[in-house]
Amino acid sequence: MIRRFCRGLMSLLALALSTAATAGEIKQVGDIEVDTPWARASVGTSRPAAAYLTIRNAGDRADRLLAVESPLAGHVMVHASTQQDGIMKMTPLDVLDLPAQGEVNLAPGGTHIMLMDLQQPLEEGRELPLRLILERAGVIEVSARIGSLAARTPPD
Amino acid sequence: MTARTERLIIAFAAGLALLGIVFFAFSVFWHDDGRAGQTSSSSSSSALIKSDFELVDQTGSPIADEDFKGSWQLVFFGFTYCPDICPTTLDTVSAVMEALGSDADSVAPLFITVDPERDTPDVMADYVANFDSRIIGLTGSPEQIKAAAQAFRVYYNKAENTDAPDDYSMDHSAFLYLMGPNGEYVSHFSHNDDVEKIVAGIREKI
Repeated sequence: MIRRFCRGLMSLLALALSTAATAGEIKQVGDIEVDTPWARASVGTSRPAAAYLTIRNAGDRADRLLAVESPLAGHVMVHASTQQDGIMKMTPLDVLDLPAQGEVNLAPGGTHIMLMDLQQPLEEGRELPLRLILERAGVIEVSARIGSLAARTPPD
Repeated sequence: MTARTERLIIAFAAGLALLGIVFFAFSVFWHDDGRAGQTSSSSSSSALIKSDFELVDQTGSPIADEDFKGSWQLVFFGFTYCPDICPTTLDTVSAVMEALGSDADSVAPLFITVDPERDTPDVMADYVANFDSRIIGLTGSPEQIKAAAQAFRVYYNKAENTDAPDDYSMDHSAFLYLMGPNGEYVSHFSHNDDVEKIVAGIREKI
């Protein structure tokens, strides 16, 4: 009962968060700009989901993405998909370097945010709140729009 | 320098050169062997790739390569726990099937899991339902999957995650194989080839 109540409360909180954060597009904190965060819908809660975004660092000093959190996922990692001799591998990245005056693009088939232990299925058309924790810029909260499971580009 | 030492030096140099040739030949051969069926499409290695499997589809029904006799097969391996590459590949295959129009009637798109532990027929059914309805999701026992992967010369390996044992990933060959009406290897594509290239490649053969 308490568990259900807690879960309900978390969903409400997630909903509140997702509506509070600006939907998609660009979010700027200091020198850091987060552009078009989006996610793919998940198959229920037992399969992980992926989220993508572009981070620009307009500053003269490098920054690093240390962690990503979401109220909808128990465990979030940044993974790199790499291919060598036709073999695909997913490698967890401890940190993601954000070079000065640089841009890092997380996109399908490359570096992605992997969301595990989903608290609820990610449904197309909804929003996924993400907290990006950067070494220098601090915490940046964004809301990723959820596209279809087969989506390859951000939802319209 | 005496004639004897001169002969010795020449013999030594010749021996060294021979050793070099042998080593070179061995390294080239070994290198090619290691990649056979993965990137090479030469006749010697492609002859090794064949469609040969006994698996179950997403409804739980047994299905084997013989069930596709007379049909072309577009075969790719992956796993549903993969949130990035696999949905992208399935989406590519869906788009290929659509772009093929009536030519698609003679092509069976087969998605074979390399993760039978987690990918039960029910899971495969939930997963493939998100893509073109003609895509058939195949799973089986670990032994059946191993045999199927061997027939296609597909490499896969469980990449353990020490932090979260349930969240392991699978490294795997990410090719799309076009197999002929007798289950023979015809051609292959990379998972990141664009839809137009794959469609043109299939049309050229069928």
